[in-house]
Amino acid sequence: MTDTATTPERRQLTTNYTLVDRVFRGSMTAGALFSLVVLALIAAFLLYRGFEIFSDFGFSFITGEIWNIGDPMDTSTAVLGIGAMLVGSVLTAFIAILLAVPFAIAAALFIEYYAPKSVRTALTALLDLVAAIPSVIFGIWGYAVLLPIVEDWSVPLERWLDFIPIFDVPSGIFGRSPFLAGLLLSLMITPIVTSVAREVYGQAPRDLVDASYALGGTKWGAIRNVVLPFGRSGLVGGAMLGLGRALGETVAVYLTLNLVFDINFRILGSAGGNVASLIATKFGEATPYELKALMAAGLVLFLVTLLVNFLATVIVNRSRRIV
Amino acid sequence: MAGIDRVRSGRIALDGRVLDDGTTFVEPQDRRCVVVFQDLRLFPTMSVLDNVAYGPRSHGAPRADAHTRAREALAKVGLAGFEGRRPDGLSGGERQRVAIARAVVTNPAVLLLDEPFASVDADSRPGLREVLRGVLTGSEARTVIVSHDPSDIADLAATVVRL
Repeated sequence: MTDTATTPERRQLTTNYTLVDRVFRGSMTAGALFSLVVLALIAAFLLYRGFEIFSDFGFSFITGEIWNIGDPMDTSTAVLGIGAMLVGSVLTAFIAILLAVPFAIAAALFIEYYAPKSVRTALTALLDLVAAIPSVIFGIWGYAVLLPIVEDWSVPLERWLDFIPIFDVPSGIFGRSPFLAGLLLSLMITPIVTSVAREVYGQAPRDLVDASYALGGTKWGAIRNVVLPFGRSGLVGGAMLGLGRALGETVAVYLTLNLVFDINFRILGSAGGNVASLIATKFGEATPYELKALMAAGLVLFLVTLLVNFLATVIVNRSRRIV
Repeated sequence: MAGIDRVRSGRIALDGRVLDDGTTFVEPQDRRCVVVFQDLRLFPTMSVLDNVAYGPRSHGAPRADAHTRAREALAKVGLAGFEGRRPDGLSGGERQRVAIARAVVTNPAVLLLDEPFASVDADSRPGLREVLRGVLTGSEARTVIVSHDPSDIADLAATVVRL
């Protein structure tokens, strides 16, 4: 008879990874950490190079709307602020989101619920293709094709809607306006917003869609009452991912927006601001002190974009949990 | 029968009208055929009133009219006063009553009940059967009940098909 009262000794559990496992785990961990390290190094570099600007100008660097380098030999004469550029970035990105989101919702619903399978595959591939077009191509196309069209639209728009301040153009100069830049950005971010919208709409609970049909509901009724409410926060996340890209876009905006250091919300006039374009415009001929200011501007843009992307990720993850 | 899936073979017809035979397909909203699922599938984002008003609204009834009919249907199943509640704030039996009200409010031609009382405890079933019998009395709906519970069959069925 065995002695059942004796407690067996606790076994020591160890896992012996093979060399291949260890190499694989190591390389995967390094890969994951590498992007974080790069991100931190970029932030540290920008902070290091731009720190003097923040200590010289403080918060007025973010709110000020004058960019005057003064005497290149005497940095105390410089007045530098990116307020107009920051407001311009937000304004163009906001226009882009406003135009892109309804189109992205419609495109995502069509692809997910209405399109035949062959059309769905073709449209999905087409959207991926649009997402891969370099922004300089968008910029050139926007300048060559979209600019004259937007100019033509802007004149009657201003005439009919000039009682609304944002449509008023006192200078009478249209063209490379925040509206043009925003419209171009909306075309650039539509694929990413559509892609996220498609994903969240595709996760809408099928049993509730069926329940809608089973009550005699139409397809639109199911979409309105089941799919759209369930995809709401996911769509917000997708829109914010698009917003992040729109805020950081450089070349396309550089070619289609006239930079003017003056905070204004008039979207049709040929005067706007954009932090990324400011950096691209000034970088080549900047004095060492101005270069530091551009680094500081880069850091502000970096942080704003990082924050928007972080919020987008949180919202998309939350929507996945809800669905 | 409700038009959620298409037939792979055979034919579904109601009063001589072909609903689905592989070539003809009548959309769910044009069939007057309503289903109560085993897991009920109440819309979690809507109030009880909006859940019940969903059918009439889908058939084009104005909001006020749909709400009036929904209130009447809720009263019939003994849930007057529950209009503003959400499905997740109801007991199993109450949710079942909402599902029944939601199904009969459009006065369907065919009512399909898939294990209608499977998600409630045995003690609640006789009362719910009573509620269902009450709402079906005077209804034009031809009702198909799928059930493993012999009491459901004994209480509610006129014709039994054993599978």
